[in-house]
Amino acid sequence: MTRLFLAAGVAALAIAAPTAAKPGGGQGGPHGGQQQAQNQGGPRGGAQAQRGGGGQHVQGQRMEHGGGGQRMQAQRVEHGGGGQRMQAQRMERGGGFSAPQMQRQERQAARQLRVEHQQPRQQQLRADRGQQAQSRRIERQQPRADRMQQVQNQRIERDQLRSNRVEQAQNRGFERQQIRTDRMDRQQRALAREQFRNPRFEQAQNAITRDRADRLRVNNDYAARYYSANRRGLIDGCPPGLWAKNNGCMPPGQAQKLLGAPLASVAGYTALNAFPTRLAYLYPDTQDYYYRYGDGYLYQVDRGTNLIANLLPLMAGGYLPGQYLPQPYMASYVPNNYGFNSFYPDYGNDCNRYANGVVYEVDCYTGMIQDVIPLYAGGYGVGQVLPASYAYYNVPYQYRTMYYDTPDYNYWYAPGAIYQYDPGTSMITSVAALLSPGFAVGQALPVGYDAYNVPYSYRQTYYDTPNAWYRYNNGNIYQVDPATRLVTAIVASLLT
Amino acid sequence: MKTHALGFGVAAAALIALGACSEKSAGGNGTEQPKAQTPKAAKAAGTKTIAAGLPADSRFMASAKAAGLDQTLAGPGPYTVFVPDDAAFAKAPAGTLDANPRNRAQLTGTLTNLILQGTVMAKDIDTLIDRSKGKALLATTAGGTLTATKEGGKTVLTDSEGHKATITQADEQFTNGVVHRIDAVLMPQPKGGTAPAVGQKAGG
Repeated sequence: MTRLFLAAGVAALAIAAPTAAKPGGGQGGPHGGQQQAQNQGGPRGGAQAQRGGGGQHVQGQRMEHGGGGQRMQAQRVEHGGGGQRMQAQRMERGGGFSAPQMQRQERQAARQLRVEHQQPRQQQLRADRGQQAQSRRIERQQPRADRMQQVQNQRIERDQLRSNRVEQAQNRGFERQQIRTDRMDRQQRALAREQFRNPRFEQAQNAITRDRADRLRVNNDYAARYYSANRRGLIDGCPPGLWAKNNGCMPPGQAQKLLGAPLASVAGYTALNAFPTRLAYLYPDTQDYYYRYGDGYLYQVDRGTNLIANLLPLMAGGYLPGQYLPQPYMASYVPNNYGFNSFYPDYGNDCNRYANGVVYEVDCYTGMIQDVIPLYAGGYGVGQVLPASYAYYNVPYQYRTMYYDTPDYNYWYAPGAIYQYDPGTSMITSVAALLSPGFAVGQALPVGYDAYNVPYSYRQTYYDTPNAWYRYNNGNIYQVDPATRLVTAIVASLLT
Repeated sequence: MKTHALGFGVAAAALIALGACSEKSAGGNGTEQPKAQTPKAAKAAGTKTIAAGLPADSRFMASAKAAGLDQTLAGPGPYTVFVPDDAAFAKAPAGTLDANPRNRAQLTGTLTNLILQGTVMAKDIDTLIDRSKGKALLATTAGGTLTATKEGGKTVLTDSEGHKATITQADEQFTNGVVHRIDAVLMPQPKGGTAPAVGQKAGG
């Protein structure tokens, strides 16, 4: 009978031990997962650990360690199970003794049973505590990882800010450079203006005189008229007061940009005028075009589109004293076929250059224009405009009784012609007289005057003989020696 | 009101009179042309000036007007003018003799090359050709020279570019000069060129 009970107890134990070691159903959450790990151990524990750990590497590693710990616990349980089996085997061997032994054994068995029950519970508790520790560790790791992420983000932001600031600093640097160069430009321009106003420059102007009657006398007349009357109005070297409402003159480079532009774009900064009726014949409006003038330029405007079709500088090709002659023009020479190249040689620091029908006397080195001598038909002609500072009376003496200023017409001389201009607009309206390079008594008869050219009414008195020739030039009749071809005297004047 | 009416009437009469006057002196071009000459200059010019004598609608006078030289030829002068006929103007390169403001400089250069100082009659040119062994130089108001030669009994003018013109009708006399008619336009610049340009060297 005792053996029967022992066998039953052993059988019960054998059945119960593995059962106790099996996972308890119904325990959810992480604990349940961990208990599964206990049973299976090994690689399974690692897999579970990964599942529980989410995607974070740091935690995953810790979890694996925890899984390892679980493995060890599982082994202990197995060992515990093994121990129980051994005890169960001992109990089997112990069968056949007396009843008190049996009671003792029963009590031992019961104790064993209790221990058996307790062990899994303890192990369970231990496992739970391990679980809790692990989960707390995980929780601690999470904020740490978050913090690291935050730190990284902050670092990125800081770098971005730093590069933005660098960019801004660079831009500011460029701006400052730009301002600096603008200031330098302005200073240079101011310097040029100052140079023009400089009394030394005034003296240089006074020193520029011409020997021959054909040349302009740009000296005290010019300086006195200009500086006394117009000093305050100087703008970039342009004589003011050319038109009634004009503000100055525009350099040709800027003017070229206006080709094709709407007329309104010019009207924005300078007054545009139509021609007075008395001058309209100089630039007659056509079906296709009409004309306006302002700021030293004539604008030919297309009627249909109101776009500027053509520009004509009305003042000496657009360059005036005080401005710098553009570099390409500094390589030019006064042309021969107007007969003026011998009149305007280079001397000292003054070079004579030529552009668009105008002789410019410039400083050889800087290119600053000191004087402007427009040549007839190239620079000054009908429809051109006299700068205000040029509008002083300079007609050669023998013509002064013939051509004198009136309220309606003024007269002005330049090589090649005596011009008649309108006082109000300073516009040249006609050529009063064509002149040639003059004769000078004691000089040789110029080439091309070999033909007898005395006017009708003087032919009776002055006719060629082997001893004397007579030639007409610029209002005078000259006597010429045929043998030497020297001009010997003025014998008559047509103008007095 | 009465004064105003009277004033208007006087002004109107004056305008009409002025119109008539300017027609006389300006070769019949109407009132849009200003009176160019001072009284002394007009007196010295005489009553039959070159500008008055040449037909106002001829190509030469239209070009002269565009260049402002019509007033010059109405002045005392005296000038010797070689006037190309209308057919000659038609033969010139297209655009070179257009009477528009932008062409003014070239036009003036061409016309002043046809005008001499003083009064040079045809026989004066012939005398010079004989004296100069066949080639005579005539200085023009453009600053250049024309070469006069005799070819087949006729006087031929050659400009600096080699263009030739023959005098077809000589010695048309006026109070301020003389006109010789020629059959071609002498142009001081190369064909298609304009007035001396930037960079042109002396002698070029």
